[in-house]
Amino acid sequence: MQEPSPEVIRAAAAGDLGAFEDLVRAYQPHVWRFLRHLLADERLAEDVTQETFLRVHRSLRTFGFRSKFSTWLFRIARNAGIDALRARQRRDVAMRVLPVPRPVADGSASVELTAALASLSTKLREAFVLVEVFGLTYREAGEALGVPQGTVKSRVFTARARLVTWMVAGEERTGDV
Amino acid sequence: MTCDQAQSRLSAAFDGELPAAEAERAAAHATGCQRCTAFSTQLPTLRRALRYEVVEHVPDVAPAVLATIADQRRGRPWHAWRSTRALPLHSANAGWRSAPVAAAFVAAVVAGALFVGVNPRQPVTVTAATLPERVVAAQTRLRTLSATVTVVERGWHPRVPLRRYSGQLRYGAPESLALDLRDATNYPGGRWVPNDVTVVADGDRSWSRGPVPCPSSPQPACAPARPRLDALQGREPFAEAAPVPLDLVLPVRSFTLAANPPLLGSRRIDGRAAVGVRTTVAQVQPLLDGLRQVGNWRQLYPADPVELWLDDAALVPLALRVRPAADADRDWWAARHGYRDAAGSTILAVDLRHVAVNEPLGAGAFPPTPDGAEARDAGFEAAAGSAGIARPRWVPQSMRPHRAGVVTGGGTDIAVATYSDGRAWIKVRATREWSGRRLFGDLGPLVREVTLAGAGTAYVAEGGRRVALHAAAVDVEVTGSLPAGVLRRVAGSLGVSGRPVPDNWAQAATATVRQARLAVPRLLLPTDLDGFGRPAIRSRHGAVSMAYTGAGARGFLLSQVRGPRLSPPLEPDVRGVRVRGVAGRYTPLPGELEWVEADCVIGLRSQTLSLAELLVIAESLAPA
Repeated sequence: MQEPSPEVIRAAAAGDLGAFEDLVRAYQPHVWRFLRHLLADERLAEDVTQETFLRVHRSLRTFGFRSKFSTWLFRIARNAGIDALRARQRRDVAMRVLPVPRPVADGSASVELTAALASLSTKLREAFVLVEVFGLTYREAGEALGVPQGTVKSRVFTARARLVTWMVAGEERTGDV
Repeated sequence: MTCDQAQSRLSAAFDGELPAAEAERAAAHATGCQRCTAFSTQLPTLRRALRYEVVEHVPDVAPAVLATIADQRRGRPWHAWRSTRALPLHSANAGWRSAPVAAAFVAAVVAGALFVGVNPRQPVTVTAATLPERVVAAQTRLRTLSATVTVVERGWHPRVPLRRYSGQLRYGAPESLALDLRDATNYPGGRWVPNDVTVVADGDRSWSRGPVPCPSSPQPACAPARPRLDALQGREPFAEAAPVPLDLVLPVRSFTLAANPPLLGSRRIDGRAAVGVRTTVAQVQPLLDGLRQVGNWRQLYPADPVELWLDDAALVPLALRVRPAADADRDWWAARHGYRDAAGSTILAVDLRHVAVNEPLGAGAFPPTPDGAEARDAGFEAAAGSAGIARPRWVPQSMRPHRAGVVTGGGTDIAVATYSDGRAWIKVRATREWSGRRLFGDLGPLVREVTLAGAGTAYVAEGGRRVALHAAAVDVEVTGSLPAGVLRRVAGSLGVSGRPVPDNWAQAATATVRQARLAVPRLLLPTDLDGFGRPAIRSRHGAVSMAYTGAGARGFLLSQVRGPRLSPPLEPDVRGVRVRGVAGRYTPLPGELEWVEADCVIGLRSQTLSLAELLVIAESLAPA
């Protein structure tokens, strides 16, 4: 993922709405994709994407270039996403963990895969998505999530192991047909 | 090592997070372990499926976020986000809901490699079905315009990543205009010449001032500190040699012949209702050229996407954003020019604010030529009654005579008569002294022959923007900002009868589709082509060329000649391309796609369309 130029970040932090709009447009696909995986809800992901950028706008001045902009952005998106999940849980106490979807042999495997991903716990999912989908290093993902590097490593592995098991099961089923 | 331990290491190694020695040990274990091998072979499959997933609809939250921030700045009360949401995103507000159309496009552009091969299907577009017609129609309503202009230009020079300008734009119908931009950039050293530019045209005089042209790479050394002042008097009305950047106040050229553009939505800009469309640099080239007529500016790639926001009532431009296109040819182009444009960044932003339409302009809106400027004489002399060589008996009812007279010099006297209504204009140029072996007027060799009711044969070029008549004792050219049908009707009312051009003229090989098919029996024509005028066809020596003109600077040339193979490439940069099921080649520098099909060498050439667009046209070709 491309990092914005410091010039753009500084301009946006200084109140240049044009520069900020550039940031929003450049990064909203990534933020939305991340949140869609994290929240497993496209509409909520859209709302939280909006909220993420409002938070980014409020705290841009505090961005000190100590980490990558994308890492910092994912941290804000992740926190906004977790807040939204908690809010939803409070609203809907009856909400239960989604059942593990069964692999389907035909057609749109990615839809199924997305659903399988959604069945993982939030903790596993957020670490795995940052690394697998967005290519963050373990250190960067740790920074974004506020956990040690080793934790990222083990969460990514656990998520991967489950999804691979699920994929292999899908292939075996396909083989039967 | 247990299987779990090995798999954990394989996982980390796959992410590039394991020292090489450890990665090798894990791999060694995996070779002897069926479960580990299975795990390891699935890892790339999983990553591909997730990282390169097809994302067809990415929402655009930018308008809502910016509106919220603007509200906050205006001091409206707002609360922590958990208690109120900024905007009801999923309400029935059609304006916001149409935004994702643009966003899906932006995402594909922005994400670049991340979204490899995305959007196999066209996103469902909300089209601004009537927008091109509305822009063309709005020109008769525009009398004056005044606005402040701000421009942000990124990537001009590696040491000057960002330049900012602010200034004024004033316009008085039909062809008085003043653009003044001050360069507010903080340059790194003292030797840089600020890109302060002024362009003024009023009546028969015009002048401009700006730094001496010099490409960006040798800057700052190459530009003399003194700006260059050019002044003109005796300027022909709507002179093409000294054009007034009229598309800057209303982008008529960009929307004449245009296909319906994808709509970005509507929003308010500086208190004015605005409608946004997605277009390209090539389409809004006349507007961008008008802005950058003088001075040193960065170049833009013709296929770069442009977001253009027009005033919903007057259709004057309010905001424009240019972003780099995401394709390999664009990267190649950028490398050649030394540009390093970040994906998704805005490389040019133009904003008009404090817009006033049809309000009286203050005195001195069009400053006089500065003292000391030596004005070059362009040879036009006003003479109201003298343009009688070929005077139209018909012009649209609301049009009034504008400037008329004679251009002398250059060996040929040319009578000029013009008519205008607001920003709309028509010009008739006529001469009795034409001796060129081509049509009078700037039509080029590729023209289309048309028959005018009661006025014989005429030739049109540029999709109908130019009409020429070659008659017994007079040669005439009709141009203007109005649709092709209007210009042809004006040409038909001149009282002269057009004749076919002589055999030794450049346009003598002009052909119809039927004639072209004699040269190339299996002649291919584009089907479902939207946004281009009817082609100008030339058939000569067994080769058929067809020129298609579109909106702004868009256009392409389709050539077909019988032959078994492609000629050797002329340029070093040539790429193999799959086209219509066969191996073809693409040469980026002239922008030419070529292939052989049914013993015919076919070429599609364009300076303004991307390879992707040429391929779409190529796929649409079918025998006539």
